[in-house]
Amino acid sequence: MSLDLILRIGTKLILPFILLFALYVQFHGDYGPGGGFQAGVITSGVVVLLTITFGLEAAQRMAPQAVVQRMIPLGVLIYAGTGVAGLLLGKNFLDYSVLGHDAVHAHELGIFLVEAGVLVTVAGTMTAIFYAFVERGR
Amino acid sequence: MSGWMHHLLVLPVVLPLASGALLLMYNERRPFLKGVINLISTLATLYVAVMLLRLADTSSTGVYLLGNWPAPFGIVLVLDRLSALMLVLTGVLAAASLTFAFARWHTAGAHFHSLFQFLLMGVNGVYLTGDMFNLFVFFEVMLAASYGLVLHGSGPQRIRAGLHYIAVNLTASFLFLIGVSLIYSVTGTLNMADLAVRLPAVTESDRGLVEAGAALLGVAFLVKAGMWPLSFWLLGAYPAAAAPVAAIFAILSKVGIYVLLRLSPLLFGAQAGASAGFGSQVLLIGGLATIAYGMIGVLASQAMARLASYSILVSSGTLLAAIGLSDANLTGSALFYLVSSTLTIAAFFLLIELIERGQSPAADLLAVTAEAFGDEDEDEPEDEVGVALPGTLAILGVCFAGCGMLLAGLPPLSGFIAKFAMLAAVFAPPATGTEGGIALAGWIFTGLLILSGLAALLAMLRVGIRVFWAPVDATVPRVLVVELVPIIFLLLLTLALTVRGGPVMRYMEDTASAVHAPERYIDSVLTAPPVPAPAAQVHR
Amino acid sequence: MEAILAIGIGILSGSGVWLLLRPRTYQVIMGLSLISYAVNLFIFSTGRLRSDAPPVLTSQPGSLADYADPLPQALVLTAIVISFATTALFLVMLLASRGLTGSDHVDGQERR
Repeated sequence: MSLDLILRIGTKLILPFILLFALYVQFHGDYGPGGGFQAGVITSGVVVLLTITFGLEAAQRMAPQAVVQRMIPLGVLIYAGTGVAGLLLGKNFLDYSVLGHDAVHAHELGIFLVEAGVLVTVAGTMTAIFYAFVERGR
Repeated sequence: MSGWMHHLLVLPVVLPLASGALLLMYNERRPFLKGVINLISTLATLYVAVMLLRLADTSSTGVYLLGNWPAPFGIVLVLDRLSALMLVLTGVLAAASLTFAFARWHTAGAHFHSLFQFLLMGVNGVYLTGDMFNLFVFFEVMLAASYGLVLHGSGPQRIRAGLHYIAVNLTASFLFLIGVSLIYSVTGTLNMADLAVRLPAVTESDRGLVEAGAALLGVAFLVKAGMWPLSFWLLGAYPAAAAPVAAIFAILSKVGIYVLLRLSPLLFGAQAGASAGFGSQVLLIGGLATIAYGMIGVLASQAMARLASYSILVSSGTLLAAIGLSDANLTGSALFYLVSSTLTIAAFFLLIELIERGQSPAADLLAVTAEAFGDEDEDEPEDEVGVALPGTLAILGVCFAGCGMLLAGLPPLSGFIAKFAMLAAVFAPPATGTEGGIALAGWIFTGLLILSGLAALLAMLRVGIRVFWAPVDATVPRVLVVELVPIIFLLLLTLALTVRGGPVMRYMEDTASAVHAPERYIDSVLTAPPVPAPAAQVHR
Repeated sequence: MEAILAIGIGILSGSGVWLLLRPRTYQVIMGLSLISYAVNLFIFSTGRLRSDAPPVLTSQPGSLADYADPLPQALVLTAIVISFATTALFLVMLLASRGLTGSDHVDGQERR
């Protein structure tokens, strides 16, 4: 265990930056390349790195199975909820223009919410798939 | 029309999506709660579908602009009689299979209820969407859920069949993508209505590309519909699937038929210029070959689930040939046949499980070949469900006879009316039968239709004798009322189709004439205004 | 550039089809992946090959001819996501099949 000191400290140092990069990709996705899917994959990369360095138990302490399992439907519900919000406010399904005081801001907010839903679902799904494969070998 | 009625159109997609996600929130230790949520959502979707059917029958095409983007740019959902009909049919099958699954199947594996809802979402989306790529997405949602469902209950038999099913359908999806992108690269649009407008204007040098794309798309749909020789996967997957899953899968092959029925008159109808009638010969010949193949299979199969799978092929073949003949009257009758045969096959799949539950291993010895196809009853959880109701065997027998009559097309049930109407349409005077070739095709179609009915009758009689009469010490299968109710419900529906044959047929004929004259569809989609207020978008 | 792309797509899909027809599940999954790469490249190429052409409008829009067609790129993204998900699912199937039948043959048993 002492041999991988550099690896473990390096992982700890790099983790916040991976998450930060995921958030950058997430927020950059509104009007540029990037978005929820990529950000979700990067986020789940954190869990993969943790598992490789510290083992599955440590990773699952940080991202417990129960949470990961709930994240998948939560993201879908955020997405559907955003769509239905437009519907309930008198517009069509997925019409964001009622969510803000003017159309541009409303669209930005709508896209942001949808992308947030995608982020949550993708991060959850990726982590769940990873857990499923890792746990198989045990 | 009031404001909220307009939003009904999106509910068949959103409702299963939301409830499927909600169901994932609960783990498998709460089967009752999950079942109740699933049932409420399924019944609500069915109710919405019935309302949409009445809406589609009174006013014409309803268009829903997702995100309020106008038609060729955004994705539209389109409701007409055809999609409403398919929505209702799917809803009915879903309600029946779900009720059946409550007896024991819904706890046989993880996430049954979520997958069920996502399957409904995908299927309903395919019916409603008016955009080619969105069609692909909904197809994938449907297929992904079906991959999970075909494995429901696990076991080596299902895994093996599922492996083939998934590999074949993934490959078909890639063909779908290639086809869509070929068409997009030439026409620059993915909206179906816009595509129909632009196709006649495609230059001669690009026409080959478009037709190649359409052919690839067609292959993808024909794999789903089960046209010979693309149907080999179906015979492994359907008998291996759990009974309620197989029953809902009866609609999946009809999804392929639906897309063909939607797209071939829309894109390659009479108005399509140089490409008019593209592919209809293939559909006709392939359909006839599928009937023949399915008919031989029906005669040859000993195991009942296999017989039912071959019946799906016969039904698919009949519908494909009817689409290939591209005649509005025939299409109307074929739609009637579609509803009738789908209900029948679903009921039959459910019934098979109950009948086989009562069969002792000795009864299987009579069907020597049944073992070769691997009856996997042994490794299913053969826990004691249900009670031996008095007269169970009689009820099962009557249901079985009903299925037999429906498959063979004997009066008084709706199978007879469906086949009779199709034959009448083939021989109707104003048909395009002036040329020799088409008349010949009509004759072959007629002959195969009658022969396939005879084959179904023979096969069902043989199985019926073996199961209900031959066993000396027949054990009465233990059956729950909740398992009998959906079967009887489906069979009563076919009876209702007979009794109310006139109005149903009138609806089908209206549907068919609308499908074959797509101008109104195109017009409604392309002129649908993105309105600031939620006013009525359904045009009269 | 077109020739290279066309040859690339051809090699990918050819290898993919060959692998798809092999009897081992691992070969099948590799074949499906290769085909999906080929298909993704193909969809991408339907937007015409352009370099230095952004798909998203910038603050000084200028002429539309300066932009690449954004739709194929969106389609590719969707196709990638979907084929990724189905590949993961197929991988699970493969492992389940290996576990249940003890064979990595696509039929669950070796050909006798």
